[in-house]
Amino acid sequence: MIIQPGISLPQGVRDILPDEARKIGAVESAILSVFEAHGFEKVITPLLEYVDVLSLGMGESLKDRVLKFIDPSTGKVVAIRPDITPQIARVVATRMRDFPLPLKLCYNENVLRYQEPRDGKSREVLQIGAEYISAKAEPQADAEMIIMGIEALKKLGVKSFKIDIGDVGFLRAILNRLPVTEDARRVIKETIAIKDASGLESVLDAIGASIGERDRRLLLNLTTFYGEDEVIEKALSFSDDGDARASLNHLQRVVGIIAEWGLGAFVTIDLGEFRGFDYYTGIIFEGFASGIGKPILSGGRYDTLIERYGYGCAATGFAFDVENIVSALDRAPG
Amino acid sequence: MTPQGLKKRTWEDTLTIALPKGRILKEASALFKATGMDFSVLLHDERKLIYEDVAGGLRFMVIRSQDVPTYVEYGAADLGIAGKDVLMEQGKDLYEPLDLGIGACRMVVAEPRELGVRDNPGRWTHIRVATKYPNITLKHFIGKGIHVEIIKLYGSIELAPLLGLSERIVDLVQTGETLKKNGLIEVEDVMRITSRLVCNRASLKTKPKRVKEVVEKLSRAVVALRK
Repeated sequence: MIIQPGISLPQGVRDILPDEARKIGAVESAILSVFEAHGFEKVITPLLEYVDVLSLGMGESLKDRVLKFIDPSTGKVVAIRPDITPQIARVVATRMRDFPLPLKLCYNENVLRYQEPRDGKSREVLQIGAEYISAKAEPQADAEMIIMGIEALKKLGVKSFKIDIGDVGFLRAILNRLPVTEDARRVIKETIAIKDASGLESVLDAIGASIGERDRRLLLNLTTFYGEDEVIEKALSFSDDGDARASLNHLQRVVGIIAEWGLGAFVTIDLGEFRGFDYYTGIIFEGFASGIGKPILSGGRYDTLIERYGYGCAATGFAFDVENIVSALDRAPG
Repeated sequence: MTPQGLKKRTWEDTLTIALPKGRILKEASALFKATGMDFSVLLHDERKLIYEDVAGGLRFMVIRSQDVPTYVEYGAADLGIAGKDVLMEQGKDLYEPLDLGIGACRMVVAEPRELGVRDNPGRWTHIRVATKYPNITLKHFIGKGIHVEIIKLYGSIELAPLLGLSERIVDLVQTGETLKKNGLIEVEDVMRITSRLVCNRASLKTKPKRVKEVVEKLSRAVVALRK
């Protein structure tokens, strides 16, 4: 085949040829059928948004990774969406306020995020996700999200996967009451995020006695609070803070509901997990499959995001990374 | 993915551990041996790059130290041993559950002795630095508000000032002997370095018990070694 020089694609995007497109289509329809069985209805959001509007729902981690340009017809700055959830928040707050709650919405769209080009990672990501919007934060809603994730992955035949659940509400409750500077809080957060117990120890040593013995032990334990659901009990025994305990109780209820559905074996817990979007306020979760180093689904509770668009209600949601699921299916052993 | 000749096991009962070629391998071997995880056969035969401990459900592979974070990030290895210098330079998204305490050294700014005696790092505004670690170097000087021109080299950094390539270097020192021989002195500390146990995110989530077991065993060995 002779390819004319100069005909190429920008870094980080690609064509998908029939073989792979077929696989992607099969994954998409299996997931959408699970969403439908749970009563989720599809919405379609636009490719472009005003940066100002999108910014209400984007944390610092995403703002620098957005493809922006000036709309020639208005002179305003627009962006290609890097994430669907803020769009759903805008739609719910501006167009669907008179719909009865809970609202169960799903979508199947592409997003564009700038990645470090050196790794050859793709910028365009195919996402299928669901969002559950309710008046109050309910453990049932979080559990239903995770159950749908497990059901879909089982249906697709993804082997040996786990859904790992954490809670940023719990972590923030602990960190926010520490009498330390913002800088120190950030460093503590960074060392916990990479489970660097020795690094955390030296940071805490440097801060000194302003952090009490009990808090110190809890913080150091956060680097090892991963595994089965007994870590929630362990964390409860270390925590006195009301907000932290409330978060752990909520988490325990979610895990309990999943277990009642007979799906407890698919769940792991990690209370030291910080990753994910800045708008998460409670439970966060990610799906992992054997042999795939990156998550195949991720989500969490975001109870303040829709309010930023002017409508106070609670929400939880998640999205599958379709291409990572296809590679998990291709590479699964046996 | 699996090289020929390796027995196929289910993914759940085997942990693949990426080890760095070179001086760290020997120290790591002693540490692992103390926990009953023995890969010392890899020390004796340099051409042997993979060793599988079938009974223990462990597979060890020896690769270039700079490649360890990449293997672990993509999940080709579940765990690995990497220097903090390599980890900081590459900035991959990995867990670093344990400081192994081995391979200890420091990263420093050094310059020729005759320049160093009258030099004050607090007055620098624009400098030229040769290094193997452009990202760490840039971050270090930007943090101090110093404009730095970086010359990326792949080895023998200490020659750069002698030949006039740059006035200063950022490099690792263990004893300081190499710097001394080349007429250089340390003027500033950048960071302390040791080797870390690193872990793939999906491996920690999908095999939490096995990962925790290895971390705990090694952690005890590290404490015992310090005493």
